[in-house]
Amino acid sequence: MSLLAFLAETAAHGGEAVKAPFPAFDPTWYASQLFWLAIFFLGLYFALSRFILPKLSDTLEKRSNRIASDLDEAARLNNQSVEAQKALELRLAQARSKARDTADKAREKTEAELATETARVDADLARKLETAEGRIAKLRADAMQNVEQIAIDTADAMISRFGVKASKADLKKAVTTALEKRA
Amino acid sequence: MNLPIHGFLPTIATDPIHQFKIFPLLEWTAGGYNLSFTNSSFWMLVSTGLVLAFLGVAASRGGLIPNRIQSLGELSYGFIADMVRSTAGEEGLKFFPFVFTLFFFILGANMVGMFPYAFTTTSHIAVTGALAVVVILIVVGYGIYKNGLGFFGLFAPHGVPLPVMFFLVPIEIISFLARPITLGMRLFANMLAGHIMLKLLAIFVVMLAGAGLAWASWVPYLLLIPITALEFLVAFLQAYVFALLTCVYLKDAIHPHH
Repeated sequence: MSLLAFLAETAAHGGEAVKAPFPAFDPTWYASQLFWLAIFFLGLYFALSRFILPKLSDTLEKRSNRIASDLDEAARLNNQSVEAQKALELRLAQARSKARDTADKAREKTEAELATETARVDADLARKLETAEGRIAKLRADAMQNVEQIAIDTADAMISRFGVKASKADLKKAVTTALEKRA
Repeated sequence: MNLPIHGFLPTIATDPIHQFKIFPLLEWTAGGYNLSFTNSSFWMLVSTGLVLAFLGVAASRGGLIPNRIQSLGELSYGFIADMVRSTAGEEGLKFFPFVFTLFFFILGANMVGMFPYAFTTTSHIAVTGALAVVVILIVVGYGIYKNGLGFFGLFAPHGVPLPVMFFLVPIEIISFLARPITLGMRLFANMLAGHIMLKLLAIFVVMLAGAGLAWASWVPYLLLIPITALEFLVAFLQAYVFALLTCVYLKDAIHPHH
């Protein structure tokens, strides 16, 4: 206090400040200060507690509710997408096994058809081969027949050049023996 | 002619105490009391008006996505609510509007007082003392209403041996009685001292320049800048301390047995 009084005294330019009490402790204005303090403080308290603070807390609550509900919604959508993913995988697996079945069946059918066809063609070929072989055997037999006759004729012609005569039966016998020896 | 500023605007008072002088703007006496509307009342009106305007604008928007001023209002709300909750507990939230009003009333007055020519209403003991007394009356009133005579258990902590009680109880009573005084005095003294210091430094700048030592007046001038910043901090801090201590005292009223 002494410092303040000193300051007040030294800095005062008129005599008024020296005589008057230090303004912060001047009781002249206590009543006025308290009265207006009460008015303004209560006014501010009333305005804040009735209107402004409820509005602020309302806004904050609304926001936190909104955030909570948004998070709930996000979780719900997330679950939905996970389920959809699962369903998709299930469907995919089903489709894959179905495709495998279809492919298997098609392959079996084709193989069966192939086997039947092969068997049919084989049988056909065997039959044709048999016919052909029969014909070849017959042709060979016919040819052999002709070869014998040609040999007999040739032998007859050769020995007749040497002036020898031989009977048909002898010639045939000799040719047959020779052919048998070669075979 | 009395303007709601100390002295005429172009005049610069060289008296550091001059800024605390109260003078009536509208004379009014009622019931034998001088209830004049003074410069102090005017600046109290300005500070409460600014607080109300700021918070009113911040609250009225109510947008889901806040803009700057709304965000500031909501931050203030959260700041004070957290302070009340962490200091006085959930039950202390009953007093949230009161603490909020107290904080913003003092903050507004302190901040408005930082502007040149403005009057700092919180630099008067009548104002800060009255606020402190109101706080203590609420604490005592609620404490007795809530706990009955158990409220006075505040002065007799548990688990203290009887002989120590003889010393402890008077000390507790004295410290409790000192609360309104220290609470009011702290704010008042901080505001008063801060403004005197600013004024003295400012006067010193002019005096040095007037004495032909303009080069030397740079020293107090440069010193004035950080001190002004410090005073803004003090203006906020004192409002915060006042509100925080109110919460601490309210906690005693809610739970007297510590």
